[in-house]
Amino acid sequence: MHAEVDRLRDEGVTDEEVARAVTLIETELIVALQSAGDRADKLSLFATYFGDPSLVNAQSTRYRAVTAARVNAFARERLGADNRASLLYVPRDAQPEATTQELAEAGAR
Amino acid sequence: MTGTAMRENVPTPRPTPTAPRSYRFPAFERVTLPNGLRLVVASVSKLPLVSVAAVIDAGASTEREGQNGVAALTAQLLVEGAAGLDGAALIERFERIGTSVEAHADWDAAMVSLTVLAERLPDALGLVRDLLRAPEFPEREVARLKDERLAELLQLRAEPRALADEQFARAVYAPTARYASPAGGDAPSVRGLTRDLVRSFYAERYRPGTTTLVFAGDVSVERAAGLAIELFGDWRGEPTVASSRAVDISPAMRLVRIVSKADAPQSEVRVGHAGLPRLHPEYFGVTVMNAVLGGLFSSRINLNLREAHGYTYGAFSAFEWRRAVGPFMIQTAVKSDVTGAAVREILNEIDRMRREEIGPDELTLATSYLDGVFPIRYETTAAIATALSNLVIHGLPEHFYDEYRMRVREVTTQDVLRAAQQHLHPDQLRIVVVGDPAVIAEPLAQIHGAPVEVVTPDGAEVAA
Repeated sequence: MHAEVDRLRDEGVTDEEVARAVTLIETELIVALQSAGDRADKLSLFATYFGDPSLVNAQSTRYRAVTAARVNAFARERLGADNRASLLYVPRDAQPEATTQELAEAGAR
Repeated sequence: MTGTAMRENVPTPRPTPTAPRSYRFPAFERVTLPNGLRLVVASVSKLPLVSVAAVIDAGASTEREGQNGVAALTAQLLVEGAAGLDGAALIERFERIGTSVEAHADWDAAMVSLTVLAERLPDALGLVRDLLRAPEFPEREVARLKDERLAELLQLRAEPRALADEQFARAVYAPTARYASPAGGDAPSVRGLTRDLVRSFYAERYRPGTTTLVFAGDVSVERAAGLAIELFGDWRGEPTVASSRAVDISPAMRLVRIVSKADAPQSEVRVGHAGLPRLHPEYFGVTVMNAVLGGLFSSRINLNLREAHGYTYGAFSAFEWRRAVGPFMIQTAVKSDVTGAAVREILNEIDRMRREEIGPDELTLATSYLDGVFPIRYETTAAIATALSNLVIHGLPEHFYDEYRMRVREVTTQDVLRAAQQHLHPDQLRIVVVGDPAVIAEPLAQIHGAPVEVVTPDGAEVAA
């Protein structure tokens, strides 16, 4: 899991990957506007966090404006090993020291 | 509190509501292509979305003897390899156009469905064509999905709710009836499934004449038909006549069966019998009757078991509507020591339903609910496509959804009484309980007036 995060941070994403993600998000956004309940949720979200429910109308445009360069800049800034926490649920009788060691090694890479 | 901060962030003025608009289920049109493929198109242009559902007459009830589970397996395999793409590549193609596809089969149909932005409809339908016309059923995926189903069956064995459902079906139907065993097949039948069986099931059942494409959303009939002709017009092949599997019911006398789960703190209870086929003249009377008996939160059974007696968090009843005779079932989970008392209350409610007319308030509550919830059920294009799929699957009257609310409101207290008297059969009840026989056998035997059967989770009889 650490390796995949590192790979995303170091090698970056492609325009094609970003386009795919944006298309999926856009479909989800519009699907969510169909039902009165989901529509109310969206309006309340933008009203509560940003004081402007009409922001719901700007979401498609804003997602479409995202580029691979912006995603990569964000990943380089935020996805570093210095900005991670790892949590492992283990069976009660597992060796806690071995587990801690494994986590430390994975995180240190 | 942060009064100042709140004031800085001045909310926009609240809009005032306008008068409610009247509701109508979307109008739809039908088209049949020369090769027999049928289309149902509901143009709803509220948002730039289209839902597509391909409905294929390839459900579990069309399986041949000894192949239980082949319908579900075939439908799942459609998305695991088609037109030269493997499962992962197919998922990626759907993601590229901003959607994901679902494929599954239940008792009466196989279904492939998705929702997509209207501008992506041609690409989406092209992929649906690949799944339906060029599936590859890779050997490796056949083996993997069989293993998954076998693992699932093993898990269900340890899950009291699933166990109760399965054993209830076995108690209602004769062993030869397809409905007696799960739609997805049981362990022996799934082990026997092969790629060749899947391929021949596909060849027999997935044909233009057994398939309907349902469109709901921002698409005209002309556009839908044009795309269908382009992508499916040259699809050929006649379906093999589906084998009609028996839906025999078990002998009609009351039965009480405990599925043994030693030390179970609570009992999973199933009470019911064979119900009715979906196309039934008294559908509305029965639906309202069931709503009063156990269909709603405020139904008699739930108010009795949950609110008055505190036996359970919830108790519900339902007629499961299938093409053939589906089950009528009341279900609940109760603490072990009140199992007998809870079953007695359920039987009392069934008797009361058949003995006297319900009150006018109870009728209004049920009909208002069914009437009022109807428009909310069909807010999305996907829900409209599902409703139209059911129209196709069950051969419902063309105006079924237009008339639904009116027909519900027309049901009278006499209709409800008649539905209860004709379609609830206290003397034929199957009472199946997953629980601890040491605690529940005696109270259940008292209710039954005879010793009760005890079986293992595998259904094998336990000597008394």
